[in-house]
Formats: sequence, structure tokens, C-alpha cells
Amino acid sequence: MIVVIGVVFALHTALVTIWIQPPNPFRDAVGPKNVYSYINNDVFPFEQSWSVFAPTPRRGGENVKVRAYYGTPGESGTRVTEWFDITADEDKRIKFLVNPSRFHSATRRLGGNVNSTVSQFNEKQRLLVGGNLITSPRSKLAKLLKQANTKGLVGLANINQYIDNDDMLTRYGTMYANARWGHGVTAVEFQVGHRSVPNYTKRNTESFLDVPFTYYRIGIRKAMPGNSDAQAAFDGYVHKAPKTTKSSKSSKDGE
Amino acid sequence: MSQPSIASRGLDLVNEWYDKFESWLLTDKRSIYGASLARILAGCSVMGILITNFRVRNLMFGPGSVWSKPTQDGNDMYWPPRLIVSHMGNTTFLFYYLLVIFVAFLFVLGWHTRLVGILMLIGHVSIIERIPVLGDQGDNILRVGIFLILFMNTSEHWSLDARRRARTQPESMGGGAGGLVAAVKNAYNGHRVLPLWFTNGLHNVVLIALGWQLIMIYFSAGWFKAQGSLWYHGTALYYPLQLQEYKPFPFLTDAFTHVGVMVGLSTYVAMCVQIGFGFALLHPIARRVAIFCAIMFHLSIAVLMALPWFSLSMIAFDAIFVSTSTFILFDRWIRDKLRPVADLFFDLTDPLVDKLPGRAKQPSLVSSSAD
Repeated sequence: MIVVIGVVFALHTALVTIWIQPPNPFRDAVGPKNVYSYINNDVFPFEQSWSVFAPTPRRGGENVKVRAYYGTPGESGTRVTEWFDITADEDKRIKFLVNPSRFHSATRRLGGNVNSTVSQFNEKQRLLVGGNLITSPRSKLAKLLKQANTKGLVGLANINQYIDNDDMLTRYGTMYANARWGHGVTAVEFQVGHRSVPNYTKRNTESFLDVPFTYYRIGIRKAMPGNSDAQAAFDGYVHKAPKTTKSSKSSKDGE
Repeated sequence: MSQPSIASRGLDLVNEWYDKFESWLLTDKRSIYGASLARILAGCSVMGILITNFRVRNLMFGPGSVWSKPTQDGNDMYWPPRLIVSHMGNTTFLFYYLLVIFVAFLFVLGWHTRLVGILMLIGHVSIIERIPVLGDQGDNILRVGIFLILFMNTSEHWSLDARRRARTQPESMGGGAGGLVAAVKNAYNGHRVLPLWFTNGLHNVVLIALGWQLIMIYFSAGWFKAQGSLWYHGTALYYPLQLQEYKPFPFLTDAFTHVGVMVGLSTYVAMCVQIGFGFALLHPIARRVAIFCAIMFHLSIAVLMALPWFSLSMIAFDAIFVSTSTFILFDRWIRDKLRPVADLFFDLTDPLVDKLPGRAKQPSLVSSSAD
């Protein structure tokens, strides 16, 4: 019995060892799909990756700005809020906190994911991402991005990842905007920024916080509200916008 | 008389090693102090993660986490526990969340450790895996590590199970229904039910699996680093430490990165300790140095990078590498220091506990061997 248990754990350990090392001939011998299906099994996965900060450590920061629309974008009388930097607000909350919640990193994570996928898009695909999506479903954007894909399967995987993150950002932004500026948001719009840590040699003369963000716009997205429980969770978390805030007229962007 | 051949001596050596290994594997449970500390610290990590996220629980894991629906829907893994919370409202989820924290607390105390450990793992996974987009490697090592220590005896020391075992006597397990009842009673009281050779063997086999898992984590993390030019040049640590999410105390980080030698030294030490951790375990002194460096490394990550629960999880499982003699010294030292507090606590609680059914016997400080 102990021998059987020993063999089971030895096999488990061998597969985990093969999985977590950098690409190696042993993984090829067992078959990457076989190892993957064991490690990422449905019931109790042993999913793990230890290439944290390696070989290249993270050297950049992202942030996300949002603004909300009340009414139909492009039509007169539609109220548009000012831009609000969600990530900067989260950064204020985590300063001097040794045990911050990971939720404070949500927009940074989504912005980072969007950045990494958009950076692999071609010029036409970037224009599509910047376009508005107010009446059409997200699947239409996916279809257009796929038509413009020039990178085969890798490009398709990248598009799927972008679409997921676009969807999550829209859901997050909608509930956040509802909580900040009041319920009834009909559409949201984002700017995703990126900046890099100054080179090591300049560490005592330049501060990362002084490096300006480079922004690009994601087009206007139709609001994706959650149910009352979900919205209540955001309402209890997000700081309300000051009442003195003046709204501007709608931009003239169209879909 | 002729000398034995080289082949014969080789076979004798192999037999000797095999006998030693078999004896090591089956005659006793190894590293039970380390396993007990791993239980306490892993339970603290689970509690810490849940308490840290308590205020944002609905946004992270509850109904408000619907913002991450595409990744929730795309996550085919953990399907049994994941479904537990997927349809809960805010109020139901609050009670469930508190329940899992309480179960983790019971795990830390070592109260019916095996059953509570399984429930804690299911509860933890059902909550944490609701938000794969915000997952990190701390979740992974905690999940895998807790899964493995469930097969080990983690309640031999510093647990309520140990106190219960000392207070009660194992019942004789004969055949028939009486034997079954005795077995259930023994299991409830934390006494051994299965044969000793089996429980020893299982504990030790899983101990090896957990140890190897940790060695491979360190090795692969160091191996990946060694492939990077920034690590090679000794400047890698500077970059992530500038990011706001990893900079809770800017003055501390700035003081650290201001001195180039510190950055270089820390970068190289981190990489070398990770690659060499497994090899260092082979020598008693090198092992102590490696474990000390690993703990310091994780404490630094906890404070400088605001990742306390990942760090605590790693330290928890690293405890299995600490020798029993070190733990006995530590145990004596901490008992001496905490005796006044413990005396006060038990002076207050024992009268209440003694009134409970079946609690007439005084607890003994000696714990019996059990599983």
C-alpha cells in the first residue's frame, strides 16, 4: 500500500517538477499537453508558475481613467462626467498599508492586460479598439479584430484575451461610475496609461512617480450594469464625486 | 579469506541504504513539529487573506465580483467548490465568509484538524478562486501546500487535538459493530485508527512530496531569474520596488534602493539562495543558513512589497525543513515565556471546560502519539 502511495506521489512530484521548470526536454518527452492537463485538472489543479519577476522584472505601471455618459453618446443633452483616475485613487488607499487587498490592483491588472494585448495589435486593430461600441454587441468588435488579424493562432488568442479584458473593464467601469456619479450610466469610456520605471542609473535623480503616463483611448462602451447586490457592493466602496462637479456636453464621437 | 568483490560491497551498501530509508519511512513520523507549525501558519495565512479582504469581499469574491465574469466563466477548474458561492447574495455570502474564517481559526487551534482542514481548504478555494484575474502565486502555494499537509499529522503539537488525546484513552477496536463504534470514537478523539506503519508511511511520503515541491519552487524561481540580464547585472530588484503596489513605505524603499551595493547584494543573494536552497539542505549548517536566508527573504517581501500572506505561506511550509531539536528548544523557550499568559488563560477557562460533558479529567501536558 505504501509503495503504491509512494509511486503516486512520486509521479505527481515528477510532473510538478517538469511543469514548473523553464521549457525543457523532459516536458517535451512527456508531452506538454499531458503535463498541462494534469497540472490544470478541473477538480484540484496544481497550477503554479514561479517565473515571478523573472527573467525580466516588471518595469512599468498602468493606470485607468474612466468617464461616464448619461444618455446617448453623441446626442445633445447627454451628460458626460469628467475623467476620473481610478488607479490613482486606489494607490492613495494602499499607501502605508502592509496588507492591502488585491482589489486595489484591479484596474492596474486590467489596464496591464489591455496594454499587453493592444501592444501586439496592428494599426488597424488599434483603430478598432479606439472605436465606440454602443449599440453593437462585443462579438462584433471581436469579429472585426479577427478579420484584421495577421498573426494566426497567436493573434486570435490575443484577441480573445483583449475582448475578455475589455468586457471586464466595461463591467467594472459601469458599476464604479454608477457608484461615483449616480445610477443610470448608459455608457463608459476609458483611457489606459502606461509609464516606465526610470533606468537604474537614474534612480537617485528621477522618480517613477514623476514620469508622465502615455495614454491611449478605448472607445465608448455601452454600460454593463450588475444586479442590485453587485451595485450595492460598489456603492459601499467607491467615493462619491463632489457635488460641485460640472458635467460637460456630450462628445461627438459616434460608433 | 578472500575480500568481497566491489559488486558485492556495492550491493551491501544499497541494501544498507534501503534498510535505512525503510526504517526512516515507516518507524516514525518525521518533522511533526514542522508540520504542526505549518498547520498554524497556513491557517493564519487563510485567515489573513480573508480578513484583509473582508471589507471588499463582495467586490472580490461575492456578487460584486461579476465584473470579472469572463474569467469566472472561463475558469473550468475547481468546479465543485467554485459553485458554492456563485449564486449567493451579499448577506448569505457574508455568513459563509465568516464561517470560513472561523473554520480556519479552528484549523490554527488544531481542533479536529483533519476534518476542519478539509473544510477549510474547500472554503478557501471556493472563495479565492472566484477571482482568477486577481490571483497570484501565494494562492497557489497555499492551496497546494494545505492539500498536501492534510495527509500529514499536523496536530501532534500545539493543538487542541493533542490535549484531547492526552485527556482520553484509546478504545480497543475489536470486530463487529462495537469495533466500528470504538474506531469512530478513537477517530473523534484523535487517536490512531489505521495501522502505524501506514500512517507513518503516508505522513513521510507526503512530507517528501511537500519538501520537493518547495525545493523545486525555489530552484525554478532562481533558475528563471538567472536567465535575465537585469538579475545578472544585479539591478533587478530596483525595478519592481518602484511600482506603487509594491511600495507601501516609500521612504523605506527609497533608502534601500539609494545604495547600489544593497540593491546588488540583495539581488544576487535572492537568486543564489533560491537556486542553492535544495543543495544547502544536505548539510546541517548550510541548511540553517539557507532557512534563515529564506525567512529573511520572505519577511523582506512581506514588508517592502506588501505581500504578507504570500510570505507567511512560504514560511509556513519552509517550517518542515527545521530540525526537531531546534523546535524542542523553541518549544521550551516559548512555553517559559508564555507560561504566565497560558496559566492565566487556563485558570479562567478550565473551570468552564470542566463543566462540559466528559471533561472531568484534568488535561495532561504529555501528548500521546496519534494521527
